[in-house]
Amino acid sequence: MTSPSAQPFQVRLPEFEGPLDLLLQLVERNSLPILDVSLALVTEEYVRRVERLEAPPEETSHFLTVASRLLLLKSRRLAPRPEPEPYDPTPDDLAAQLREYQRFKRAAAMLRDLEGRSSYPQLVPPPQPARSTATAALPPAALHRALHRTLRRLERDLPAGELPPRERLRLADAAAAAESIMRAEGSVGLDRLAGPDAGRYEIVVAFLTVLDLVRRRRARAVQEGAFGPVLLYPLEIEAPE
Amino acid sequence: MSEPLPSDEAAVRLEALLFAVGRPATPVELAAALEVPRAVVAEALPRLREQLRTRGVRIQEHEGEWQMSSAPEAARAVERLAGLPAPQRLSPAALEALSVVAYRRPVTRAQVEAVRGVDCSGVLAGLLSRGLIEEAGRAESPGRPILYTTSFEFLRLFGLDSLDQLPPFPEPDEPTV
Repeated sequence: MTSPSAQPFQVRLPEFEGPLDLLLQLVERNSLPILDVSLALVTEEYVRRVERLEAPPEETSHFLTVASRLLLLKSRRLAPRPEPEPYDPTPDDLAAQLREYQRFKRAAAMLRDLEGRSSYPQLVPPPQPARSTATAALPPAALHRALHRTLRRLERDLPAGELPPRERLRLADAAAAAESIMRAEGSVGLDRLAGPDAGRYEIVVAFLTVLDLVRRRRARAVQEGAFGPVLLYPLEIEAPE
Repeated sequence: MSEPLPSDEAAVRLEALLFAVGRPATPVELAAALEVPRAVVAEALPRLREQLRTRGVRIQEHEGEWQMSSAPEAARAVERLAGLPAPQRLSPAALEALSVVAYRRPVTRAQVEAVRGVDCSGVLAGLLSRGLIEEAGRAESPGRPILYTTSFEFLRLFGLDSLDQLPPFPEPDEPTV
């Protein structure tokens, strides 16, 4: 700080010349209309003073305080005062507000007496979900694939000529397989037990497996919604009968 | 005087319409369906409501929409037969806030809080999610706060034909000296 502050900061405006503190005092006493005072000019002048290194730091902080106070006063005059809320009864005393609150408390008690005496509109049952998935938008290609899958299954289930000896499935084996999948993966679906190209025989065995596991309390079957997949979750026996 | 439809006949058809449509309907829709001037419907609806006051079905009106519904005295029986749970009772705080909305509608949250003296945002959110109050535009005050008013569901829960049927707002206590 080469140049010591030559003299205290003076505001020079058409309306006012003098120290900033005096300006604030005049404004706060309403002796000078703040709306006529250009705070931008005051600030510009002060910024030049700072640039000339004429402002000691304590003066700068004082300027900030006073100038922000002036800004606040001016902005209050510029912005419309928030109006009181329309119905607000201006409860200047606490007793009035309490009396008002008591009225609402009694209104609430009256409502309590009526609560639950409901008037029900016609209770139209919600529309039932479609019984068939065929109403869903079905691209022709998917329909084509489904048809071929079904035809393949039919060919295998109903072979022409003599029935070949069918591989016999044992329920116990199927149940053990299901349990090992459940242990490894946490759950298993009915469709998985039957296999991707299951015929009627495989599906029956898979379904019996599900029933068997549920009956022996080895698993719990969960179906989320109609036509959803049936999932089996392992169920450890806690207290055998 | 050649009226296209005698008004009691209009009332009969109105009753049929309100029963069959099963949802709130406006006089404009009803008049269009009956092919009568709106004035006939506007005149017949309150009369029909009066006639039904002693019956098991009532007519409720909310903001210009009219709907047929069951008599409130049968609420428990309806719930038993239809397997409906009895509606959950409102907490004292929720009921207080609801009464402020009902008697001062439309109100801002700040106005509800000014009466109750505590923050009401949670309570109002609960009433909104139960559908008992709904937004009704914004106040022209700074910040343009949301205004709340009661809903059709409010009338249903308390079995009121319309907001005119709210019990009169209690008089203030005599200031204790």
